[in-house]
Amino acid sequence: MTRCLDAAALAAVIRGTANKGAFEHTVTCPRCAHRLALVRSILEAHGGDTVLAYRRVRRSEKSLRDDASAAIDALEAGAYGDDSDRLRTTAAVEELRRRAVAAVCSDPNRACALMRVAIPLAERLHAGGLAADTVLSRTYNDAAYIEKTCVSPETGLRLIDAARRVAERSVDAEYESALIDVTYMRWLNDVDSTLEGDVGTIAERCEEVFRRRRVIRPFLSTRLNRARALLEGDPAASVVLYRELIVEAESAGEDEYVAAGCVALAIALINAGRPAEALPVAERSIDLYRRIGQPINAAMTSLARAEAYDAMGKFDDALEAVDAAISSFGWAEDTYVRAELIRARILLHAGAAADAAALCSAVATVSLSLDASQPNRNHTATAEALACLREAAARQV
Amino acid sequence: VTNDDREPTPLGVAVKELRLRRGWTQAVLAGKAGLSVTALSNIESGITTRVSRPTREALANVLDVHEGELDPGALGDTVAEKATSLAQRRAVVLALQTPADVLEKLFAEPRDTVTDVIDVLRELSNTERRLRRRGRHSPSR
Repeated sequence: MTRCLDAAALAAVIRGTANKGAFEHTVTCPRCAHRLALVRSILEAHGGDTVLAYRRVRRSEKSLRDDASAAIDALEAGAYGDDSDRLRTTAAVEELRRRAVAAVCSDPNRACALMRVAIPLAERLHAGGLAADTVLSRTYNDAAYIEKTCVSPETGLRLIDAARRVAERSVDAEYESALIDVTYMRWLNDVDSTLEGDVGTIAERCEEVFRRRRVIRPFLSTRLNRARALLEGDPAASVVLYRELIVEAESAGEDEYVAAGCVALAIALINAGRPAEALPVAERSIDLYRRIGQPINAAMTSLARAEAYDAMGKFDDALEAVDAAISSFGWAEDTYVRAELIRARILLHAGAAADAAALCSAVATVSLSLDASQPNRNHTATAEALACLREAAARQV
Repeated sequence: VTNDDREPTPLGVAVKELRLRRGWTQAVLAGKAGLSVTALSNIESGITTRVSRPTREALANVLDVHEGELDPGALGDTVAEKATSLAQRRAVVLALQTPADVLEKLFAEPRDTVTDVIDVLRELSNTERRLRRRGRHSPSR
């Protein structure tokens, strides 16, 4: 199938001036056919007056977004108490999703709380015919990602299943299912995961779907997942893929993905035993994250910089980098555990075995309490903390 | 004028909704608009049914909205003042007549779909404007 039509080509189809290929595409592509039908129904309702239709829809859309944003501000400020019934548009669902996903690293409780409002709202609107299948499936999909990251991977999987069931009924099921696959690959790439699935095959299928529809961000997310799958087994191939991804993100002007590609590349280079090359790449990522206003990601990238210094034997610089990262935020507990574990390893490598042992012991205690309160949590951090503690104890002897 | 049945008026509903969106208490809004809390409470709950023009203006000003957005009566007056030409009145009538379900259907879609639709409408609208301009400037024979 040919690639999806852009706005100019769809407008040409409506004016009747498009080429034959464009007309044929709108017959075979469900996504373009759906957009075309929506535009035609709006034009018809406005008596064919394109100028009036454009102004009206644009203004209504802006007004809906502004209202949703203001209503959620008030909800978060507690002005409504528990009265979330005031939120009643898909614009509100999307704003809740956007805020929740953005809060995953910095404030997991807030992310979960926002999704707890978004899910029933999306379900209510969907049941009343006021939200398309797509809106509900994407809400479940984001909730799955948040649930996996902040609470329970298994509950997250159930949300993935719910997302798939709704996506299969949507206008463009192939595309919506590919979006869910991008999230699902996080489970397959998880070191603790017992799920079976070939990330390479899934990623290839998703890339084709996204390329055909000319959507760059999900395409780049897929590339990140594909490279991540190779990180442990074939770090050299992973390095090549990350470099390609950075070039693609640069040419698309997607700085967020350039930054994400850089930090991933830095980790791959450290894994491949090339920490000196990793350092400038991590620093570029930090600069980019700061420039696009994502300080939490900049701080998390500082952890990769600390690991690069550690691998180069520059322990003072490594400790400075990790301390700067830890002190810059109130971290989510899981991220805190990870950061302190990196600090403990640096202390161990620097010969401060007693300090490393004390820190590992504290980290293991926090991690074990997290394991107890979240039975489905990955146990890698606890295992790593205990291994580090054993090594530190052996060195003390 | 007071209303013993206390059915909220459109003005009272709008004022309350806009106040809550801003996260303000009645005391805060009353203070900003130069009203007593009781007067504001009566307006919001519908006890006061007819609100004086200065009060309406003060509320619209503080809530940063057009007076017509608060009060349907004021909206009617504004439309009557502004829609002097046939084209303007036609635009108002079309806007009122457009079936709500068409926009409802569009706004049930996710944002990327809505944005795509707006982009296509922009393309069509720009072409239409260019054609209108060319038509206006073409020399008459």
